[in-house]
Amino acid sequence: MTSLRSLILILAFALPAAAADEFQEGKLTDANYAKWRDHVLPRNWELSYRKIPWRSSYWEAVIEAQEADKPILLWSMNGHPLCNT
Amino acid sequence: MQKLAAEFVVAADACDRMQKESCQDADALLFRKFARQRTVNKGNRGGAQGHYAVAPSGELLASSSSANPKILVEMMKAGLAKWATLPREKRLLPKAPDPKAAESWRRAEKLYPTDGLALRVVARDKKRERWPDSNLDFAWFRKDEARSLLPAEPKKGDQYDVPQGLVHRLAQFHLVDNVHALNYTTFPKNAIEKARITTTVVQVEGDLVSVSFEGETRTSIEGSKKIGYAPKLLGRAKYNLKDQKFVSFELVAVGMRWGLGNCNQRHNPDPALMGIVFTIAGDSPAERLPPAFVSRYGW
Repeated sequence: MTSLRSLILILAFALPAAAADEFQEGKLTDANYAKWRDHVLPRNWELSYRKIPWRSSYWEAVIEAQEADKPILLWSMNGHPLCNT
Repeated sequence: MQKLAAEFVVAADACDRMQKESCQDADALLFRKFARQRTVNKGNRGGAQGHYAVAPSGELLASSSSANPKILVEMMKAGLAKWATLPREKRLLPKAPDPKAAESWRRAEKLYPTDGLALRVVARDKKRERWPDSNLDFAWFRKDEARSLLPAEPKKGDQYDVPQGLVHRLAQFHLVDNVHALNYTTFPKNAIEKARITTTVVQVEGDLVSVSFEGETRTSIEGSKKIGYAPKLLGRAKYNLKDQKFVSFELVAVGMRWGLGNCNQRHNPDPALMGIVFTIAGDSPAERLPPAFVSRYGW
């Protein structure tokens, strides 16, 4: 999966920058809420693969490709590659 | 690569169902036609996961699951080259595929709560072990469920317990360790030791209700597999009473997780901090994908 995600990032021409994990606080409090939230939420480059206009099902692509007479590029994983894989 | 990709209709899909020999769905029959032709050349690791260049007819043009982007580019170029040599009858299906056929296997998508609340769920370790160090899922609430996250007649200062069924659903199917990969281990009801979320009405301005969330859950599977997660939860949201919709939503869960999971690529069972954040999902097709365990919602 590591490799596939990396490839998709490249597909989107994203240049992943190392995300610094300077987070040091363990317990969730009102004071560190924003820090934890920001630590967990994806950085823009991590979401760059989602900017590709993926059809979210293979069948949808078959229908469109048949009509357009185009080949299909399919990314397939156990679990949907665009969410829980 | 983008230029190359534009030559294709680009799609992403799960292969779990389609790769099963017993599955007779139209997409699965086509999928297996090319998936079983894969070779071990050029970095293919075998199995059905990976990238494919295929004709609408199901004719395999090229495939790869290599980590090397050069190989992906090669694969795409090889796919296009083969495509160019195929006569029309080999490229295309003899008759147009039926869009309605998908209704039988895309039932979960139909459950999308258009007038409810769709949340994006991101999980990440405090300490990065390896890439990828986060994963993404979705959590859905029907309109009445979303409304029940705050009191019926909200007034500033009100405190209200979120219905237990919803908190249990979060604890069982969303407060799970999928940081490195899809985790098929969810928590059964009897694994819930604590599950509580309290909503406090912070402000009411016209139709707009501002609330905060505070709570905790603890789920623990005992026996040969010891797996658990014990987060504290905090959050905030704004709900429009007139439109009956959340206009903003954040829920943050932070706590210790322990144990391994089924297929989640976790190698270290020792307790470690993990955070999970729920925010409102977008509206693109990729943001409307069903939660991994929506079939267990009881909808």
